[in-house]
Formats: sequence, C-alpha cells, structure tokens
Amino acid sequence: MFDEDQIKTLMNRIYKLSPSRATEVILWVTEQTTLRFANNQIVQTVAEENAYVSIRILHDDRMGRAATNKFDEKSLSRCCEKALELAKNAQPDPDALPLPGAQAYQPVNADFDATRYASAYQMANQVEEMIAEGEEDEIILSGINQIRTHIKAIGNSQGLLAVHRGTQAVASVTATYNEATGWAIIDDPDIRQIDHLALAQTAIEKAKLSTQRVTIDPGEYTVILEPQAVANLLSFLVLDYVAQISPFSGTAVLKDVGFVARHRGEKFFCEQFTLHDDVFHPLQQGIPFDGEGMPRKPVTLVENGVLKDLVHSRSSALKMGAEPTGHGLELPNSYGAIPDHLVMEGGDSNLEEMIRNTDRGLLVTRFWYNRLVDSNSLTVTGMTRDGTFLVENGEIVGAVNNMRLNESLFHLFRNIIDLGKPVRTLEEEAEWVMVVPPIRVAGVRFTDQTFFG
Amino acid sequence: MKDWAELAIEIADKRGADYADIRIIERKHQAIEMQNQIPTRLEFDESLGWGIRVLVNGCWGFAASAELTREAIENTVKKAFELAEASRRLNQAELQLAPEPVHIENWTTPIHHDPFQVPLEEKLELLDKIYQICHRITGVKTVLGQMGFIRRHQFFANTEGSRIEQTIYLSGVGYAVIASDGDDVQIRSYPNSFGGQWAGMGYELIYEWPLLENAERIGEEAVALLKAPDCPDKVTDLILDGSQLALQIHESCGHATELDRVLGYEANFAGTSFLTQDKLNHYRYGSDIVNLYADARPDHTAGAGTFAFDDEGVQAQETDLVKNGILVGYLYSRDTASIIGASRSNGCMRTSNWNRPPIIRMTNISLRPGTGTLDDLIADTKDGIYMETNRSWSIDDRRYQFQFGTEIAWEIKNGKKTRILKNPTYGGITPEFWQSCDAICGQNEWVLWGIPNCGKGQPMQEIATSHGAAPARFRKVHVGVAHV
Repeated sequence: MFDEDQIKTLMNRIYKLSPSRATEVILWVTEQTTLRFANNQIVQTVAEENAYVSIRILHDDRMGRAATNKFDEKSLSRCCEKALELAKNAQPDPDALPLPGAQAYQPVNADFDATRYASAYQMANQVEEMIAEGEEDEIILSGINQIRTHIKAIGNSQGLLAVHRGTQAVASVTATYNEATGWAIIDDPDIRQIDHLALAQTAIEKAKLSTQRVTIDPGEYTVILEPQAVANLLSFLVLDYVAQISPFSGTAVLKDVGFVARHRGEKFFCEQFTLHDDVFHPLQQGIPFDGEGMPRKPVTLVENGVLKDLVHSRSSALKMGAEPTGHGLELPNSYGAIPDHLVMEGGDSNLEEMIRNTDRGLLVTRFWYNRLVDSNSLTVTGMTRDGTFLVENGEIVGAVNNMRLNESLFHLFRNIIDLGKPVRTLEEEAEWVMVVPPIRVAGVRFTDQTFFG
Repeated sequence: MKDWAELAIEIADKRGADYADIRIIERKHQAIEMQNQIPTRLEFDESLGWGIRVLVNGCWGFAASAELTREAIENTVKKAFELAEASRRLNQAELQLAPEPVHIENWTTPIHHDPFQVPLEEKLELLDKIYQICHRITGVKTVLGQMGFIRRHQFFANTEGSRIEQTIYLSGVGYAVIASDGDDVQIRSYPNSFGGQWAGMGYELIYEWPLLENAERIGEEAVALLKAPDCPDKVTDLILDGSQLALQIHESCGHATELDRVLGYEANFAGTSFLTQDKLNHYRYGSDIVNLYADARPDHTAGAGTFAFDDEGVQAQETDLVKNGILVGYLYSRDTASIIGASRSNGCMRTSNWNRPPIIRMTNISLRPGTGTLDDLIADTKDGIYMETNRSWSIDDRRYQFQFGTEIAWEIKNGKKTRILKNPTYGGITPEFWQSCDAICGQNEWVLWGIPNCGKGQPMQEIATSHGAAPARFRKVHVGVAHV
C-alpha cells in the first residue's frame, strides 16, 4: 500500500509528465479478499490487489480523462497524452471550471489494522463458525466473508491533495431450511465489530420462521420494513437512474428536473421523515472529499417532511450562488452531485413494538431486483426476499410467498407510521452504505407474488 | 505476457497444485457520452493484470495482481494456495474437472474497422448530428448519445498444456431522447435502451445501424408519448419486439439455466433457479415452438458473448437449453459438468477482467426464429398490444415471477397498430409466459441484441452477453401490471 510520500511522489511525477498545467490525478488502491460459501462449503475464494490512476486534463474549457494501472514512465506519459487528445477533440463544456487549489479536510477514522491484516484462515474460521451454527437443524448456509482495504487520493497541479485510507469488513448470510430462506448482512470498517455468529443466527431464525407458511393475496398492506428494505428503496429517492441525476442536486434544480426542483421548501413528505447526507456520522465514516477534491459537508435534504437543502458540485454551487457541499462526482459526468452518505433519522419505536401494534400487515426483510418503473411518480418495483412475514393482531403468524412491490416512493415516505433506531446497513445490490431505521408504513401496494418465500 | 504466464504456471505446479490456470489480460476501453452537446463522459482507460486459479486438494484458490514481476508472481501464487488451503477443512467432496483437450490457439474477433483507430472527431460528429436532428423537435429536452469500445487481449495457460491467446473486440452505440411537457417525462431510445446495441464487432457496428435515419422518428415518438394514454391494466395478447424479447430471454432463460445458480452457489446474492436438476429433459418450459440455445462460436454471429475459448480454456460450443418447449440443457463449467452427467464442459466460464475468477455466465443465448414478419404477426392479431424497447426489468431470485416495462407500446385492433400507449408494463410467471408463445417471426426479423452489463457474483462481475430474437406473440398476458 502507498504511504503519503509515495502518493505525493507519484502525483508530482504525473504533473511533470503531463503536457498541461491543468492536470488532476485520482489514485485508487484496493486490496480485497473474499470467501464465498454455499451448501455449507467454501466454493470460491478471491484475493485481489490493484491500483490505478485516472488523469483529467483541462484544455481551455474542454476536458478529457484517461486511466491506467501501469505506473511506468511510458504508460503514465501515454495516459496524459490520451487525456489531452480527448480534451482537444471534445466540445467545449460551458460548466468547466479551473482546478481548485488546496483544501482543508476533516479526517475520518475508518482504517483498522484488524481488518487490513485479517488472514484467510481467520476468515475461514469465521465461516466455519457460522456454518456450524446451522448444522444441528440441517440448515444450509451460503454467503460471503470479505475484507476490503482502499486508498483514495485526489491531487491536482494547483496544489490540492486529499488522501483517505479505509477498511471495510462485510459478511452476509443466507440460511436455507426446507426450501425457506432467511438472510442477514453486516458491514463495518473494523472487523472486530462484526459478530459473525449473531449474523448467522439472525439468518437461521428467519429461515426457521419462514417454514410456517400462510397464503395471502396481493393488495395493499401496512408494511414493517427492516433497515435493508428501507435502504433498498431509499436509493431511488435520491438518484434517478433513468434521467441520470439526483433530484436533490443543484444540477437538477438548475435543469428543472425532478420533484425537488418544483417543491423545494414545501412539506412534501410526512413529519417523521428527515434525511441527511453526512459522511461524518459515527455510523457512516466514508471518504471525506468528493470527486472534485472538495471537502464534504453535512447537508439536510429533508427535515420533518420539508424539502430543504441541495447537494452541490462546484459548478452548480457557482451558478446558484451557493458553496460547494463536497458531493460532486468525478468530471465530466451528467449527474453533477449526488448525496451518497445517507442518514435517515429514526424514532422511538422498534421492530418488536411495530409488530405488536400492527393489526394486519407484512414484515419485509429486503427487496430484490429493484427498479424504477416511472420517473414521474417515482414508482419502484422489486420482489421481497428471504423472509416476508404476515403479521396479524400484533404477532407474526407465518411466512408468505415473495411479493411484488409496485409503489410510489412519494406515497411511501408520506405514510410512515413509526420508526425505530437507525443502524448502518450496506445496500447489497448497489454496495451503498446507509444509516437507516426500520419503519412502518400504511397502505403499500403489492401487485403479484411468486410461489416461494 | 507469455513468459510471465509460464512462470506462474511453473510455480503453481512446483507447489503441488492439482491443476492451475492463469489469465493475463490487457484491456482497453473508450467511453463517450454526450448530453446534448456537452461531453458527460470522455474517457480512455487501460489495465493490465493477471489472475491465477489453483486447485489444491479439491479446493479452489484465486489471487490476482497488477504486478508482473517474479516476486509478485511468487507472492500471488502463494496467496492463491493459502486461500485454497483455508477452504479445505470445510469441503466435503473434492472437485472433479471434466476433461478438455489441450488447445494451442490464437483467435481475434474478425473486425473490419478498428474502433480505436477511428478518429474521436468522427465519433463526436455522428453523435452531434443525432442531436441536431432531435433537438429541433418541440418537446425534446435532452439527447443522450453513447459509444463504447473495448479491446481485450488475453493469454490463457494451464497446467494441462493449453496456451490460448485471444483478442476480443466489443463495440456499442446508442442514443436516448428525453421529452418533457412540464407534467410528464418520457424517453425513447435507439437501437436499444441502456447503452444501445453492443456486438463483438469493430466500428462497422456503427456504420451498419441506421442511426441518423431513425433519429427524427425516435424524437417524435418521445414527444408523442407525453400526450398518450396509459397502458391499460388488462389481460390481452402481447407482441414483443426483438430487443425486449432479448432481455426476457436473458432474465428468464439465460440466468435460470446457469448451473451454479441451480446448484445453490449463488444463493446469497444473484439467487437460485426454479429450473432444478430434477426437471432436466422433461419439464415443459415453453410451447412447442420455443427453442432456446447458447452459442458462443465465432462462426455463429458476432455476439457480445462470442469467443473461441472460454476463460478456463474450453472451446466455444452450441448447446440446446430448451428444445420444442422442453428444458434440455444448462450452462456449466469443467467442475460442474459431472454433476449433471456431462462428459465435457459446454464452455460457459467467463471472467469480467483479470482480477476476477471465471464463473458460469451466459454467452449468446437466443430464441430460434419462426416464420413471417412483424407486419404479418400484427395483421394476425385481432386485439392486443405491441411493446418495444425496455425501460425497466425485475425478476425474483429464482427467475420465476417477472415484471418488465417498455418505453412505448401500440394498441392493436383488428390486425392494425393503432394508438400509442405510455408507461407499458407486463408481468407473469416464466413457464406460463413461454408456454403462451404461439408465434415467432422469421430469420429476417432476427437480431442478435447485445447487453453490455450483466452483473453476477460476489465480488461483482459485469460482462457482455447477446440474445438473438425476432418479435414474438404471447397469448393472454397481464399488461399494465405496475398501474403507474
């Protein structure tokens, strides 16, 4: 792994090789080890080491980007030339800004040797421990046990330099018991915070509970969404993958795209819904700078249902007379800025209390294969998976087949009944860390179901 | 490249691997994205690295590094052994590799125009011409133009003696037009959505598609959608265009026939499959006219899933998956072939890049054509809906219940395409849907549609696949299921 001096030396080499005085360098260094298990055996192992630089060159108001993982003189030189060639041929970008100078960053502590130096044998032991937990009941476990180590650095020829080191340990488990499944996930920068056994127990308990089947029809239900299910849907509220923009960005407001542009300042969601973007939240601890090298700042997106502040790139901030918030993506891009360290505020309730207070509803572990069906109404579809339970008269009465959700997120976040304590969860499909509570919502629409659950 | 591969194989062999293979891959990629006239992505990237897979006492270990030095190779091979050994005590049965002949081969995608030699200026000029045509249409707000080109030069070696060099090209092009009237936003794409059309071709792909000729129609359709009525919620006959049907094949047949899913290896993330082993050779998947097959062979067509050898050195093959409606095959590998009684892998192991191990993937999974044209099919339909170009897709983790949305639909009345319908969706159960297929158009309407970004595995691997399809009709399908 690179130390700070090596990073500076590499960047200075590139600035010297670059044919342009306006050169930006992003360095990514990654190491990861993954053990995948299925049918109570380890079926695949992956260890990877890689590092690459992505070089952006500004040529007047045009820009080009090139990347390489070869760090010899010739390759770095060719990479600079490629970036310049792309820049020279590009159409002018009216939003292009000169490179920023040095910035001050608030440090984030997300780098743990215990994670960095976890051995393959230690990780295999953890897998063995999880599998053993289900053996007595002949429960089949599948999942991953993974460690990641990364450095992200951004520097430019105007003196900007930001370096972040981080580690992350991830474990997720699917328990299968007589065709029924249960699932759980955990991630943390520090592997010592991960209780693999408890994780397996949660998945196993869900699988066991899922063997008691009940039949229901699709329709509208009160739903109790576990944190992962909330995270599965929340990403679609802040990122329109079809229009390639975040409605909470200054870029979207400038283009008059999305619901925030039209309703900013209005009470758009219910009182209980408050959403921040905060990389410094104790449960977030992400990279404290953005793709332009600007320091990240906490932003309140929704406060008690009212659409509040925007996230900005340098460009949108300049146009709107605001300060950059440190949410810009690597340039060039179509998104401008996105809030990608979400923290949703919770409430006084908890899952047990939500179940106890529900006359008839569904408890959802997670949604799978979630897609935006309609940008206008923010209608999202997806299937429930690995533990969907019917709640009647304050108790779980059995598991139901996986159900197909088709619901507007406007409806969802306007009809929250109560919320629990927020927890850190890794949205597995998008690999997106969020801090979200379990929530209970009234009148959520399920339009179909499958034959298993 | 070759010398380093020999060294790694020699080290693995000396350390006592039962089997080892290495892939050294040099990948070049150019990405161009224009939003109106502003470049939103203009990038060239290259990477070089290698990954070694060792089989030790029946357990796999895989390690990858970007460094090509003797020390890095020794350390990385050692790491692969450590991973295999760490896995050992949990394994109940040793893996068996199905035999494969030794291959010493060299193959390159036959291209006519190297996309990396075509000047950037020419590429940007084409995208700008598309913009110029579309932006004049009242109601059009944004024109997104995209091109992508990949050159993957790789060398494969294994302890059995195979040495295979391949240079595989992929090219892609497409555009999307977004229209808005203040109340509604609608999108139309050409030749396909989400990145356009992709194929194992050079820049000739871009020359072959009539991109400019269709730009005005696509722009006008995007605007027309704004005032169109919603797709009704009802059960009716459904005709899908080839590109949407390609995605249907991808999600409901391609993934469902991956043997690693069937065996539960992907249970934690990508999911399993309803096409369990007990169904092989007798389960009715579709109607008698439904014939689905995998074909990665270079002489098939220039697909995004075309190669001469897969990433564990098995020669590309053709495999029937569904024959006359009956499930007859799976996609599998050397270490899973024996589980279903096959004597040889059918060549479906692919890796996204040097830093990932090969896993079972789709190649080109296609529906064999029937007869007639789309016009014939519409003329033969009394009451129904014709849907075109994917907008959303979702399917459960066993590939059984699905829901798709398309960009546009037309009502069919008495054999004629009539009014446009917006926000079309349809859903159903995979075998019921394919069993309702009663007509497939002929070879002239058949296109091998490329999908550039199929995701699977942990850590995630994205690869390109293709799916040949002609428009087809499905009886009594539930449409308007999302009630947008």
